[in-house]
Amino acid sequence: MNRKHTLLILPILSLLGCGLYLYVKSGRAAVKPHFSEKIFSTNYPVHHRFIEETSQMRAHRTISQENENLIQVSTLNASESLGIPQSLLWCLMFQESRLNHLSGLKEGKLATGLGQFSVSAFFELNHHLPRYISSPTTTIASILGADIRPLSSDINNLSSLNSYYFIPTAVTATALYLNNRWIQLARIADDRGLSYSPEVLWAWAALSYNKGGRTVLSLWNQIEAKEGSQGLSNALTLKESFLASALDPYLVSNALKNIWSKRLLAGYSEELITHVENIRDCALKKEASL
Amino acid sequence: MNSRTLKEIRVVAILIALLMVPILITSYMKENVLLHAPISVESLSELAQAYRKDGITQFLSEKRVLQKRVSFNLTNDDNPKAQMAAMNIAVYMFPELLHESHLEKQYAEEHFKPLQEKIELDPGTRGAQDNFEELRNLVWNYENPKQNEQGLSEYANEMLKVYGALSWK
Repeated sequence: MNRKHTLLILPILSLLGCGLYLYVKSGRAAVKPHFSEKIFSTNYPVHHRFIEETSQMRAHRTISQENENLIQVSTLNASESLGIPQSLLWCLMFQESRLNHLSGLKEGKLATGLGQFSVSAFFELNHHLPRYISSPTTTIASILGADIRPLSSDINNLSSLNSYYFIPTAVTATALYLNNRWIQLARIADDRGLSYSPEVLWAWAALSYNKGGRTVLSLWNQIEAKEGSQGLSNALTLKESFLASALDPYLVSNALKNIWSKRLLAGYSEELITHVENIRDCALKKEASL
Repeated sequence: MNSRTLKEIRVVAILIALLMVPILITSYMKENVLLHAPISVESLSELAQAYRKDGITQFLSEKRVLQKRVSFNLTNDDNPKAQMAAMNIAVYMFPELLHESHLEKQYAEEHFKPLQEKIELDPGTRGAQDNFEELRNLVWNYENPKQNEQGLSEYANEMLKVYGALSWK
């Protein structure tokens, strides 16, 4: 090959190389939320064990009709505004407090109220909301008519709009905290170019709500180590894969042993699996759950 | 320069070279021994002690040494226990050392690291205490949002003790 040919071929090859690089790069960035199959039920709770339990609660007046209705309406408002599956939000509060908006107060527990808020959850809503949503004041006002921050845990002012023990505020705050968990996980998935279904990601967000983001990320790391990136994307996209992973005691225990000491590991893994089972049986569509 | 002076210079040079050999070997061995020293949650406690005893400059110097040890142990497949300790210390102290595919890397880099750097810049001030309060809440939300009896992992706990010492002393 003579010099003239080489001079002609080199720029062509460079251009082809650049084109290939840009194609691959744009392809990676294009990996985004996958198709969204509806996995959450519109009627809830789904499983008869929870239906029975709520009937018992009504019969024994552990929840009043008025409070139940208020929780229902507030759940509808908050979930519509934030795009949260309504059944998930309701079931999460059911699991956390059995819909008792004063849960844990008498006992002086650290986590209290409908969504079992602790000091760190209050801190996040009062200081870190702009990290998750662009205009918190507008978002909160669209649900409650006014900004509720600073959210208060003052037990002497239970009916104040900014009290976490006032039902509409508690539901909204719980929804916001759950929404933050979803955004946190979606950002990490986006950054890694993992495809996900927004619906399945809500189920992971509920896990993060109860057990913390670190637990979910450790599980994701474990799934990826075992099944590769495709396996992880499946767990973020398909309800069956989500359930198979989050209910696999071996996988859960392997993921959590990196964080928790042996003494705490067994109990923590068990709690996590129970939480997934409850979400599955309470909020997921019947064919997905039973 | 006469030949005698040249000879003397040569002898001194040889002596210096001979002296340098053990020094270099010792320094290499020291570095190697340091890298291979066991790494565990106590490595974080030692960091807090360094600050209490000798102040921020010594703390930062020991932190750099710990960073090297964590970096070495992260890929030390011969010792899974040290590898796990290194991973946990990396999450809370040196997220930049975690592999790109590690899913905790981004969160730790964006949330914990900036606050720790601010505390190190201005230890013992009101600003450091505010940053520590933020760090503490972030860690609880990350590991145990219910703040129940499970508490925090021992690595998270020790990291908070380190930055608590820097913020409040």
